[in-house]
Amino acid sequence: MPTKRKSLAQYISEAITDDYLLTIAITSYTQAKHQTRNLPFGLGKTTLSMELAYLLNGGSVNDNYQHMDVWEKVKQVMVYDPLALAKLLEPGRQRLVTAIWDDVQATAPATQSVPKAIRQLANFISTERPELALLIFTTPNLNFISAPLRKLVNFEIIVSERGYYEVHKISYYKNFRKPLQDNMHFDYVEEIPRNEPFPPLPIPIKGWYDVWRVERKKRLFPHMLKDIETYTKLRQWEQTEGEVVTLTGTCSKVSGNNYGYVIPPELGAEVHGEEAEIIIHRKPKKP
Amino acid sequence: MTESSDEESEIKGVIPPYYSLIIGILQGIYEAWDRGDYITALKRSLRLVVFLPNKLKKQLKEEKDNIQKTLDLSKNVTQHSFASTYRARGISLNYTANKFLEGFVDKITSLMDKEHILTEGYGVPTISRSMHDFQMTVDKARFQKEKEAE
Repeated sequence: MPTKRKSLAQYISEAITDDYLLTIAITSYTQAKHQTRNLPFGLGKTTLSMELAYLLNGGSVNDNYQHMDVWEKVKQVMVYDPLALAKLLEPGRQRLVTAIWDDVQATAPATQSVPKAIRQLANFISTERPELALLIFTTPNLNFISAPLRKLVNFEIIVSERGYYEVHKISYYKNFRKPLQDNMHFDYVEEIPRNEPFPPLPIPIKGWYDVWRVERKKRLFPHMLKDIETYTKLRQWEQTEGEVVTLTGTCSKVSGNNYGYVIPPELGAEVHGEEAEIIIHRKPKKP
Repeated sequence: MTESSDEESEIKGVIPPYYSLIIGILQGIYEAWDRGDYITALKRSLRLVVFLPNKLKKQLKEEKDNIQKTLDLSKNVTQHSFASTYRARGISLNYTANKFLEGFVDKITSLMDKEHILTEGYGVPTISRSMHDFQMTVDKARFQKEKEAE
């Protein structure tokens, strides 16, 4: 006789009552059971994550997601970067029902080499059972996020179009021919009924989220701009015609308000009177 | 700072179980067909019927039995010597298999397509659960936990 399949809510309930830790990724840029819009952005990943958190923090679908006290709790558990998440998961604090890491691909993207900090965070999350029951990632596709975080994911919720989602469980089965290589399976769990789609966020919460996201992105922006600036200048430098000479030295005051770098006498005699383009590449200061 | 030891691995191993079995068998049929081994391809397609849902099995039963019967008959060819008998049986079987293969595989795939096995189904019934169901279930758990804490 086939066993009754557990719902996502049952898995989460057990995580709350029996102290499990579940990690859910909400994605949209992929297709499983249903034909999807297959678009990375704007399908409602964050909306769904916030509404799940709303229900997990005592909200009800019957109040049409209008209970602002509950939304305040949801706002407290939303983070945009690894640092904020790490602060939220401080050991020994009261157990949170849920935490949402929004746009994981923005701050912990899939790269050839994973930053040590992200690996440490992933290892840390795996021990966070006493402090957290459910961690929700939102990302367009599982392949967009860093591998150590991806390995933590137990459920993938695919938002196929606005208001509709399907839930799949990522399970590992023993490969008996190669016992050290488990087979990864993607098992269908459930989906939202076609006649009861999840609603858009209430207008004040949508407004709050837009402002919150802009603020978080502004924090990332200066560093990114600096990196792009350096990169662009280096590209221009590569395209410069003529001989390129690289020197390393310390800038020093020459006279009055003038500063300069010292060029070795042999090179100085050679380039004396010639025009040259100088790009200063600043080395990071030693702590 | 980054460390380059942990190479990214693409998620390639995620497979819906039943769907992957069917695709595996279809690949086997294609591979045998491609190298001109019509007998093996037909035998594999007859075996595929065993793994299909009952609804499709019933629809394919008549044709499957007919092919099996014709294959058995083609084995009955006899010639004047042992070697020539086996050669003639091989030619006869190959001819029969070639005759049935395309039509039979075509029928199986169209039936599977009709039942959405190749695109979405893999035999799992749709389970619909609303946000209301979700809330009811998690509320119970939350209340239980709060009670325990008190």
